[in-house]
Amino acid sequence: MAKNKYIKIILNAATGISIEVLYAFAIMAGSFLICFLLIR
Amino acid sequence: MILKPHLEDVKIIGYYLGKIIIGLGLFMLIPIICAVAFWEICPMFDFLIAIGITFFTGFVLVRLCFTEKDLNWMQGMIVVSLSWLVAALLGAIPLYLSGHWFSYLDSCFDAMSGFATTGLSLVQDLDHMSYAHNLWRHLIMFIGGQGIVIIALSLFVKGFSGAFKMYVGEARDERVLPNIIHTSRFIWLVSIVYLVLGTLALGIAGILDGMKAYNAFFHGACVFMAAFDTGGFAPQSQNILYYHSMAFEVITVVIMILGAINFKLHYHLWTGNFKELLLNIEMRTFFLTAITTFAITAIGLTTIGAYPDIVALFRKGFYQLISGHTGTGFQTVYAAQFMNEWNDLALTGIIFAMGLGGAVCSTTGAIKMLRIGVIFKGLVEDIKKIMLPEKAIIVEKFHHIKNIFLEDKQVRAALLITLCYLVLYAGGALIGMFCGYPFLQSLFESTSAAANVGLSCGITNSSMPVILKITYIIQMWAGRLEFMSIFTLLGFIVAAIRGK
Repeated sequence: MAKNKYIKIILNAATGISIEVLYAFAIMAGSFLICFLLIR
Repeated sequence: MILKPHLEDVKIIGYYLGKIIIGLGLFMLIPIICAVAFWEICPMFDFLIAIGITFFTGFVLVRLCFTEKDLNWMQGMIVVSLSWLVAALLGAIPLYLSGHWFSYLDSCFDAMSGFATTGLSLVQDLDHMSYAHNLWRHLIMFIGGQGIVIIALSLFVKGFSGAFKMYVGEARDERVLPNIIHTSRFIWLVSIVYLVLGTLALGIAGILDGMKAYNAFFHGACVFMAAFDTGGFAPQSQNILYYHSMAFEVITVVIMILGAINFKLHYHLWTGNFKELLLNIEMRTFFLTAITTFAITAIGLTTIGAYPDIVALFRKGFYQLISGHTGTGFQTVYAAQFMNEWNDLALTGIIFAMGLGGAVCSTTGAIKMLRIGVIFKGLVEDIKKIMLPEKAIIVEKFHHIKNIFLEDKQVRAALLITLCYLVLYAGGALIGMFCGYPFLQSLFESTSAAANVGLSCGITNSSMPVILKITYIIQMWAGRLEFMSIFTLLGFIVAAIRGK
């Protein structure tokens, strides 16, 4: 039970980190789109 | 009538200040270990002298002012504002002894820039600096970003009430966990996890770019500390431009954005509340302002054809923009290029981004996203009041971890701090113009200092007037602590002089 609890904590943290990194990439993608629209 | 402070107030302030100074001294052991590892004898003695002075100051204060009383609000605020000043004075000692700074004032400038996570620097011949001193520059940025008080809370302070008062004084008015000491430890957990991941990513990128392994990981750790704590120092004088690596730039952009996220949001995302990222007012505002300010900068750069291809525009324009918006200050263009190759519109976009900043309870400075969001919501509420019938009840709410109904006092508090920042930006710009620099250049550098960013368009160098150095030191200090603890310190001094 305790082992499962720790696996869940680590999985949640890993998912949280991935979502934060995705957020950063979303901002980069939006900005890249602006570059693309301005220099076509 | 103003009441004169008691001797007991001074003793309590001195006691807690002494504890924080001892904590700072303990951190100086890390560069000594580095000096031993790289067998740098002179730097080792620089740090031994600095540790001696720091421990002596700390122990004398603790011994002379010993008390078992807890802090009240006023004392907590004063301890915080003084601890940042004293940390800059003591942290500057090993820097000055290294001989890489022309004067003690210059090294104090860099120490305050480090502790306030700004990144403006007056260093000379950085490329030949010892590993130990270079590590210390980045370490003070990490200490400052985490919060000097956070360190003290994690290590020394047992009392809950006094701890919370210092925590608030350090411009972190949000508790991640119910217990403030657990909050401090969670902030460390997030930082250490990202330190390992970020150093690994940057180290591998460095090795792939041809750096030696130990150098790649040393640079990786230094650059991570400066990026996550939105500082802006880099191990080489060319800053991030030194690496000429797109991988390095992308990784640092991700780390800068992670550093600009509220630690409370980190906690919720790490514990399974994933949708919070989409709902949170700060994250929505940051996304919108980053895109909008970049559009302004990109249009400015495109009109003059500064970067003719998409990738160059993205790598130069977006990198400086996000570096400014998150309050980091990493540069991939030379300071002179801002003035010679960028036009006013592009610079204005960067100035707006610098002035706005990242999330509250993060390592960034400036006005911050929650305040911008709250002010915008307040504006929407007022417009609705005008548009709808008089009897209509208008309720505006926003989401920040939970749904919160907008109240006038929230808008007032947000506007007051925003006003203070605007005055600080303008004040620094005025002094810059008084020293003979053009308006836009002065505003750029002033905003960069006060918003704890660190981007420079060339004003910051060791030959700038002393008055401007002192102005920027004060701006970095006030901007980092968000005014209240500094106003309390000023009030305490006035009360000590004029009180009855």
